[in-house]
Amino acid sequence: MTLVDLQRRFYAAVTSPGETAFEDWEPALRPGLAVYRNAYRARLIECLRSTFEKTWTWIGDESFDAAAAHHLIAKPPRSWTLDDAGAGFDETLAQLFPDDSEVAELAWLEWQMQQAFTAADEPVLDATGFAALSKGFTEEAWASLRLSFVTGMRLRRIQADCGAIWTAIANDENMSADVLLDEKRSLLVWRQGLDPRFRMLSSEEAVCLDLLRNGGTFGDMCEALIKRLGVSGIEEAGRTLGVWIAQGLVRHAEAGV
Amino acid sequence: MTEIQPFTGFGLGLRKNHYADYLAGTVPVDFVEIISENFMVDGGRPLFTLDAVRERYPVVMHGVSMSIGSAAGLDREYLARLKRLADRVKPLWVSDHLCWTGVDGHNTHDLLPLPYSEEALEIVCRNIMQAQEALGRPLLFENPSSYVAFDTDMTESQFLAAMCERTGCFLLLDVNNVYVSSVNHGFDPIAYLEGLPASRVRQIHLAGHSRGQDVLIDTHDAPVCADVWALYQLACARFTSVAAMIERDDEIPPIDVLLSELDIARSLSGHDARYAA
Repeated sequence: MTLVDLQRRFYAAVTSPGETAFEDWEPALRPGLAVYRNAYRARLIECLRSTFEKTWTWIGDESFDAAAAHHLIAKPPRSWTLDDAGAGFDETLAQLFPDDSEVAELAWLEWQMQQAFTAADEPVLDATGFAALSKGFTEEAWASLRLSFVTGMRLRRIQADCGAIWTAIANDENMSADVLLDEKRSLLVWRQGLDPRFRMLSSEEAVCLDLLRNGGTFGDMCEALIKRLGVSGIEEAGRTLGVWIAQGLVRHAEAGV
Repeated sequence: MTEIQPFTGFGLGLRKNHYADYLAGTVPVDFVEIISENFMVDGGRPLFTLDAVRERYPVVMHGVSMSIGSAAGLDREYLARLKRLADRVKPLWVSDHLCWTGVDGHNTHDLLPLPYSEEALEIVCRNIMQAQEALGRPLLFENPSSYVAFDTDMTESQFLAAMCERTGCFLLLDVNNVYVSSVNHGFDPIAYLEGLPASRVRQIHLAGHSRGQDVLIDTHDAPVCADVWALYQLACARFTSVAAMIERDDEIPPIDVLLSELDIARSLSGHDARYAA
């Protein structure tokens, strides 16, 4: 048997779902094969438990381990890094818990927080930098201001308050089972300095962020907020811009283009 | 790209539980070993921490995902990322394991056993040459613990010796792995040590193991046992220009406990190092 054939056969034995007695292997090899097979499942389930610790707490050992085992069969690891074993676990959970949207949304949040933790370092535009850039801006310059956001930033529409679940579990507090939001909201995940962060956006901020991420200007943002809030919209636009800069969300700003 | 200078110190693995101790710079070790894959990331706190540790200690890089025994060849993206990390860290050396981890694009994330055949030797040597070329440096490879042994042409130590001769690579001798495999497969661990090319061994690993239902398992979750210490003493008599360290990956105790264990390694080694004085 060639090496590649042996490796294919060995891989199949180690990763096969369900119980197996390795009857097509020599008896002397069977106890060892069982060690590798048990280690494969245990290591990957442990990895998913560690990556999705709060989702695991939320749904409990039995449900989580069953979902993890299902995920390993549906999406067996292909990456060189064990950390990637959790990729798409939120999609697996969405299929397994179709009536409990908070489960997949909480898993999405945990996954994105981990991605943000190791996202590429990049310079951000801080308050001092923005003050220098915008000094002497004319009204036209303000209206034409465009922003680039940090590349590690992620945004998702959510139906359940998975952020509140996260916080309750992190603080070891009880959480009501009634976690559905009155209406869908946007959840933002990014890294501020070295620390991953998340927060739920107001509907106004979500509209603004969507607008500017898709090439809109600060002028477009002011107009959108005036339509929603009246004259206080301009003040809200300035406040929102200040929050984005203070929280390290803005990578670059440019006027007059 | 042909030599790795010997480094005769005593070290520990860098684990999260002990980050604060290392960042304070107060851990009396001669070097720190990192798991390469934990730092092959784009940015953020892991690399920030690593840079700070590197300012205080010499570092060696130890990987688990190269899959040097893969019949399908190596993952080029993996090698490129490993090279970027090595360029950043400037380690004493880079090591991985004599094993394979997956096939046809799938990965078990385990260190799986190779048959010690001429075909496997050719494939492993071809992969080692590719990896050493990609990283621009000779590499160390560690003897694995194994729970399955195939009926093949060579012993593991013969395979390792041939590998070194053909590729110029070096060895990381895991004494616990020799012990675990010798019990599991019924070979003589002393003959194993005698079969290794002494001039190619640059590092020794020490660790604990546990007893499974049918075999010993390399769990890295317990202190080094007496039999492994005895084998380590024999290894130190044969391999005199090596760095030695304790590996602990589970049930990780406070750093002082590991330092006490490292003191045993130092006292049994018969050679001095900086912190032995």
